[in-house]
Amino acid sequence: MSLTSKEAFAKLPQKLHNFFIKYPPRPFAQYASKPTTLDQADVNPFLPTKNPDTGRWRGAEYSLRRSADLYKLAKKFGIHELLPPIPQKRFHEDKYYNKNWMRGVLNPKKPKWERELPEKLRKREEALANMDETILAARSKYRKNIERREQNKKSWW
Amino acid sequence: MSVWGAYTKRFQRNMDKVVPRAIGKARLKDQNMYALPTLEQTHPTVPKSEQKTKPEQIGILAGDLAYISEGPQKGTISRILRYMPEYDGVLLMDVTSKKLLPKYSWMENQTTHVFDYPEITPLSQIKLAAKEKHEETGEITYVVADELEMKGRYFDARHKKWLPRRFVKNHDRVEIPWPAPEDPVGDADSEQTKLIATDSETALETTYELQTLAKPSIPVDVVNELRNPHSKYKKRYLSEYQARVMKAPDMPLSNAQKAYLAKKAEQEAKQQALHRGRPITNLSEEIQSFIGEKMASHINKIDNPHLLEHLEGLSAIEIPDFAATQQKIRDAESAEQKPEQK
Repeated sequence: MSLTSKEAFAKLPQKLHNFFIKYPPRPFAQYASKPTTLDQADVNPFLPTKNPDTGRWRGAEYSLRRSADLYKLAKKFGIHELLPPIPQKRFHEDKYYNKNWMRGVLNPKKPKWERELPEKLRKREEALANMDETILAARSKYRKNIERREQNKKSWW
Repeated sequence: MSVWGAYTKRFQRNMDKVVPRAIGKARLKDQNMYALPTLEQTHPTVPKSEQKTKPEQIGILAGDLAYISEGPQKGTISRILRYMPEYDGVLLMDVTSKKLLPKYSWMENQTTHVFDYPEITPLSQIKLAAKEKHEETGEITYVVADELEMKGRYFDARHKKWLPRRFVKNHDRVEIPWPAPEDPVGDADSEQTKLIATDSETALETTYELQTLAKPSIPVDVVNELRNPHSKYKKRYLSEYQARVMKAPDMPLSNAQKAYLAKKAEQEAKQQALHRGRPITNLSEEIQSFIGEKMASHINKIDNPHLLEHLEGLSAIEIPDFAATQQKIRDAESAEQKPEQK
């Protein structure tokens, strides 16, 4: 079963049909992707507008909730690209993958001891590795101990 | 006395320290402030809460004889005309004085300003007196009761009420009966009663008895006859005058206001021309086919029957706003066609 364009248009929900009567689909009308002044022709109903005479801002004609409703409904019918742009909102996969994470979620601060732990462990490893030199610098007789240890060292042969 | 009662103020008179006599004098002075000459009051009024109203409290009634024990007419016996509770005194038949009456208060057939007016005698200045007839000689003597004593109760048929028996104090055998009322109360035979009063039978006759609260007490059709159906308070509309009174007048606008309103109207017209004024029309065939193609290409790819069913459900949803828009379009079309027809 394949639908013709006329049959498919008959399935257009009234909500979207009503919107397209007021704001024709994208290639037939142009809409700004940034907030504009009221006197411009490409006013986007999903964005706030400024009154150039009074200098006051007016809220978007369609709220974030209503615009999201329209977008999600249109996407189900594959015509979401015909709506005016909604740059301030992300939907579905786009929203999931391009999430603007909070700094604290990505890089938690942690307590001070936890923050300094890797450095502390590195220093400890370093100190254990250079233990003989450190002791020798403080006690010269330790050289004999080192020599004795070298002599008694067992080899596989 | 409570702490609050003991509290006094520096510039306010403490009424607890003023003797009652002084209060009475002050009140009398106030009463006589605007009184006409010769009509000044000589006795202060008694507060309403202290006034005596019952015969057993007063001890006398109009019609009794009184012996005057003080004043210039001391020693005379006179008949009591009336007891005045607001002065705690009586009007006696023989105690009068000449008063100058203004013309507006003259009695019928009065020809002079001077009028013999009964004077108030305080109750403290009189003693109850009674006539006594000697059984054998028939000689009449007077008994004056220094003090009275009330004992027992009986129903007085003349007064139509219960009254105590009056005795001279410490003399149980000397009873002074109450006088007969001047106008016997409820006496059907007296002429005055016949003139004014309603018959007891007529007064007690029951002509209507309420049977139920569920039904209106009068026929519904009578309501409009009893009430005024043309009352101005029942009218649902205002008269021209009322409307004119209630409506504030249109104030003339200043030049600055006119300029502001003109500028605002211009701005609104400009905005309407840009956005709101844009004619609403149905989607053109081109746009319809464009949307339809996009939708068809998307829906034809879907092979999940449940998702298709879901889309069918979404398509079937009707919204009132869409119907309103369609109505607007129809109105606009009809408005366009009308001028063409003309």
